Amino acid sequence: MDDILLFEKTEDAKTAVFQNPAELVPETLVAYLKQKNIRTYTHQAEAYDAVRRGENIILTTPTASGKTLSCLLPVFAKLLEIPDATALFIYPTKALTRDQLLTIQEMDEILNAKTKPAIYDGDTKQEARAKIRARSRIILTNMYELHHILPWRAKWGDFFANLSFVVIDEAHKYRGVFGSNTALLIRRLRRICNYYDSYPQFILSSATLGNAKRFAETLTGLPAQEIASDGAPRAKRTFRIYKNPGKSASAAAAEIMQESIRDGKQTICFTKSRTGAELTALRCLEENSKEQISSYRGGYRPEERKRIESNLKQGKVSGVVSTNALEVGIDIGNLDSVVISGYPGSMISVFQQAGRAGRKGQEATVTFVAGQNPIDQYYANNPDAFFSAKPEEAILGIENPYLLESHLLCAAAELPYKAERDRKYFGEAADEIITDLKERKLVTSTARGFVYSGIGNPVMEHTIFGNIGKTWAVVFGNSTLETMDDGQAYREAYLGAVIFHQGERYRVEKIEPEISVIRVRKTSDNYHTRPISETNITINKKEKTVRHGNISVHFGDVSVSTQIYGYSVLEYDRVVTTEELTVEPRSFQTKACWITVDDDAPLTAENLGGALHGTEHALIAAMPLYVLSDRADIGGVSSPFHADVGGPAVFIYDGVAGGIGLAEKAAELFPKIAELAYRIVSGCSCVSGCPSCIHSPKCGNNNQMLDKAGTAALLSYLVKEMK
Amino acid sequence: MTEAYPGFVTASSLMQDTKTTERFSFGEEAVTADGTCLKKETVFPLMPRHGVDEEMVRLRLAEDLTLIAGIGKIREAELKRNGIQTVHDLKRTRFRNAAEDVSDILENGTVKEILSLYAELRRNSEPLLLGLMGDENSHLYFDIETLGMAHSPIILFGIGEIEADSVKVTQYLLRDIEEELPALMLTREHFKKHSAVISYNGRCFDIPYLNNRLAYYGEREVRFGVHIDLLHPTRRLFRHEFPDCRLETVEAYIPTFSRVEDVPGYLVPAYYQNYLRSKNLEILRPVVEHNTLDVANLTCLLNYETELLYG
Repeated sequence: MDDILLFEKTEDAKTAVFQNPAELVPETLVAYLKQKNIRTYTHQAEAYDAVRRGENIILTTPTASGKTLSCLLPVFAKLLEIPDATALFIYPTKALTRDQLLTIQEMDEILNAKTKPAIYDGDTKQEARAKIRARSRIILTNMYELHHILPWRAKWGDFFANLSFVVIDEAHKYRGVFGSNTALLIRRLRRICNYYDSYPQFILSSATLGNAKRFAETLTGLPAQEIASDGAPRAKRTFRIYKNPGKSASAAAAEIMQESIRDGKQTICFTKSRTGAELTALRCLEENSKEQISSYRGGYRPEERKRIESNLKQGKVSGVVSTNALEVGIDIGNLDSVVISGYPGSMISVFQQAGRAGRKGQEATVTFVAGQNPIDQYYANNPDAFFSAKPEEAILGIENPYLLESHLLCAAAELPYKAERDRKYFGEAADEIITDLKERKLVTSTARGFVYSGIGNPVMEHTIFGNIGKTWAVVFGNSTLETMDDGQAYREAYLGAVIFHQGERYRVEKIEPEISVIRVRKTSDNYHTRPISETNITINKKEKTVRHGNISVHFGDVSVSTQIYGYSVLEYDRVVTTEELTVEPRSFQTKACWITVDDDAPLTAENLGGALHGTEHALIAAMPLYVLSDRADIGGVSSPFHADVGGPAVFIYDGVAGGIGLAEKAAELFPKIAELAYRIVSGCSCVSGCPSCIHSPKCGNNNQMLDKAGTAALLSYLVKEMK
Repeated sequence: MTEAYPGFVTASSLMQDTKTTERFSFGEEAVTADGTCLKKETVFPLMPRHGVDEEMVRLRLAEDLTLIAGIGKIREAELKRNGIQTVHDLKRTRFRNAAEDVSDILENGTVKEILSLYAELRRNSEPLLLGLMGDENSHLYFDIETLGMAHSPIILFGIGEIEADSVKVTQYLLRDIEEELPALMLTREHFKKHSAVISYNGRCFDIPYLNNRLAYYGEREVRFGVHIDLLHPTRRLFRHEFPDCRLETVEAYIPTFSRVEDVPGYLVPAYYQNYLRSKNLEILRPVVEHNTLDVANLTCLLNYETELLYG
């Protein structure tokens, strides 16, 4: 094989470190642990003791270290002691919720705890809801549902009044704008509980984070303790980095995977995209049967996912190729070999994926296969940087005035808002917003506090957790193969596109927008397709200009549109032909800030484009710290000549339609952001750009056309001119 | 018009004296420990009602053999051909075990037990149940108007009570949002005096909404014995005859108090917002009339449907 092994290091096996909890464990739980032959690890004992002492915790031990049990032990201890006590478990995906329900139900049954664990989410049948609210002491849900539940708290009175625990699984998912919304939602929940005189404890479980304690405290608004001392045993693990200059990531990953399976190792391969997962699986099928290899990703029907999960767990399949859908804590056990096909966008994800490797007593391997893009290439050339990198910090906050206003309106509809009582949840900034809402007649001052008095339903009106949009069904014959959201359908299911599903290829034949159906037929040729698209930004209205020294930063309303012009037909990785397409662009309206670059900037005609592009990326990398977001919440466009401004320009825009104040704040803080961006770029020891400076994990142009020296020069010029 | 709606002041007379308009044309100020709101009473004469003997209702209900698990329309027809006419007769057949409880409840159970049985069987849209509404003095007819969608305040409460040969509609209107709590408290007092609530779509809307608002202020919810939501029997009876079963539509087909200057329900929030800006109560006159008639016409609808079934 042509793969080049670039790096290899071995981590010794680690034996288990057991510890018994210091705090009292109820007899029933002791018997349970004995029956299941479980001895608690150090982190499980520490978590138990901390929770029993009344503390809030965030658990950051690796995947499959027994985090679920760490959460469940103290919860059941209390629910066994206090027959009315309740607990709320919150998960980021429905698939994970269903998976965890089984675990909780099993434990409940053995303990005879009578907590009647149940899921309460968008899929819960109307007629079952009242019964669950009235009888279940353990309820599993998601943040979106919680947002809808809170205004109906009256129907939930007893549950919230007795709420002892809120367990937030995969808490690291709540970062950036989504995390900020969640933090405000959690404060609404706490306000309601406190009103009923209940003060639930928070138990968070999370991927390893750079700032776990502070993250937990910002998310919940309460002091929290990090529990990171992993006592679980670890198999001996070998870390490797491969690259294959002549092959795409999927081809290279498939080879590694096949080799691993030939060695008798059960293997999971993580890919960056849905198509990547399917393509890699397809290549593996060249020497494996369909019974041996599965692909796994969002969009599959629940029963299909369930089948793959249980096959994996029972060892019935040799390998699975998955998107990050299997990165979360779905119980599939651990595997012998993990292949990470291409950098997944964050070190947090790399750690989660690598954590799937290693089962008891057997050696395991983690292989990073570098693809062709500059980020992967950087890590291929600097392998030490890959495995010594630290997980990112998760950034979020409750200060964004747009989000705060939406949540205050919801809060006022849940329980009259009293400034002196409720300031402690929402901060001093809330006072000013409430006054403004009163002037706009959206709340009214009454003897009992501020009452919501708008016409719309505040929960629906403010698309706090994003618009779900419509769902497309991909239909083959009479049956639905899978579902896609609007964006996916636009990018992946245009007329002529090849869609993969479990090793079969289907070609899109007909799109029926009225009923949101995409009709496909089976195809047996070896082609796949890739869209050719371009993203443009147009200024609808300039709303203000902020002058910083000699530089003007503009802010206003823009439209961002992505247009597919056609698609390439590929056989393996070779473009066979390209086809043109006439489809409407997909656009959304949002807010942006932008700068233009004048002739005094120290740039040449040759490096202008690369410098603008690099500056765009560096600014986006620097922004989250100042505007409390994740970089995924922010988009950018740069151009050597933008028609609306008549010259070279860099745009930074809010990824949420309508805008939520990120670009607006960036316009104000531009000198600080530019200065940090400059420090990131000039302080980076790489030669021509790397993921730590100007490479972006979500660049639409695959990080092509970047000029590090030009970027540093432009940023330095901007910083100087803004002084 | 003044004859048909005693207590109601016409628009033209209001305009002659604006002072009256602003303070008292919508009744009087009601004072509670939690503040004030406006209160208005309107009395409508009632048509002669058709009394229903409860025993008769029990017999008619027992004629429906499909109440028993395992019996559908076809088997029912077959059983009836063989002389099995009622649920009680089933006790002589192989359906004996299944029929036992139902038969007992229909014969000896309280009205509440019968209604719970039908709710359990998911048959509470059964029109025949209207015959069980009992003593008119126990009735409370109920309809609310709200500022907007879910979770916004209730701005007008309409409560109908039978007094001799008339129905008295009491309304509580907020002059501002802060008057919602007093209006809620006054409304709750009426519920304490009645055991049977009659509404139109109240099971899904008016009653849960009322209770959610009471709970919002930290107040106890209303409780009552039985609730007949006329929407469901109306749908069962007239689904194929009327274009739809909105109360406004149904009114056009049956004898009711007719509307003079009505406002469609969906415009109520706009009227009230407009009022909040101008504080001119006159703006709300059509809204108040709309609600008065919604409540008064519930008596007509109940009466009409009962007569149709038992007359």
